[in-house]
Amino acid sequence: MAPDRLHAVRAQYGDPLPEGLDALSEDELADLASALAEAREEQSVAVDAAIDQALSHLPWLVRRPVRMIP
Amino acid sequence: MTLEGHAEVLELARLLDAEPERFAYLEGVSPDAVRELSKRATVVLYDRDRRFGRIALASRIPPAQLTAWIAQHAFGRLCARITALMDTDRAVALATRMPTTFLADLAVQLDPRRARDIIFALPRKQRNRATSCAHGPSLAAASRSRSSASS
Repeated sequence: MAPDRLHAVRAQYGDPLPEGLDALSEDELADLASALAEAREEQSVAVDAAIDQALSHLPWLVRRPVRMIP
Repeated sequence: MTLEGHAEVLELARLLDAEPERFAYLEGVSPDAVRELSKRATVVLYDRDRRFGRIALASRIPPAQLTAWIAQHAFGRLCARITALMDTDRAVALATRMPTTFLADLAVQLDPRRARDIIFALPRKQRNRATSCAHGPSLAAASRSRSSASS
């Protein structure tokens, strides 16, 4: 059985993928998948840092109800 | 490569915060396919991170002036991801307390499909200034879409 060349892209972007991506090379498909994975990771780190910084600016009376948001 | 295809590659690169040259190989793929990739990436980056919804809720608690300052100084461009999850009145209250240059930066990052109501609830003078600062493709697209909807 042929390996699924689009597996990594599908895992990042979801299924079904738009048509035409199977014309890309292995390296290009890997890059396309890793571009979104990197963006997610960078966003996650940036949001963590922003939340910490935001909380540090809040008066403690406000910080508690903000932290309690589910 | 068509102009349309190139624009779609630029949009995907902007969304993924990457250099457009990285995706030169996509210029051989149809513009529709690249646009679909951008839509999927938008869903992954905006909708699958539940923290944005919590931040939008939390933004209701502190006074608007403080929230606007924190948004600008702690969240920066991430505000564009949160804006669409906020109720319109609160988002406008915060935006009117932010500098136009900051709003212009956000305008470029905003997904107009998600933030349309907020964009058009902004005072006209502020919206126009932000648009002209940013030459924002997002706001321009929203304006076009609104114009065509109303005609």
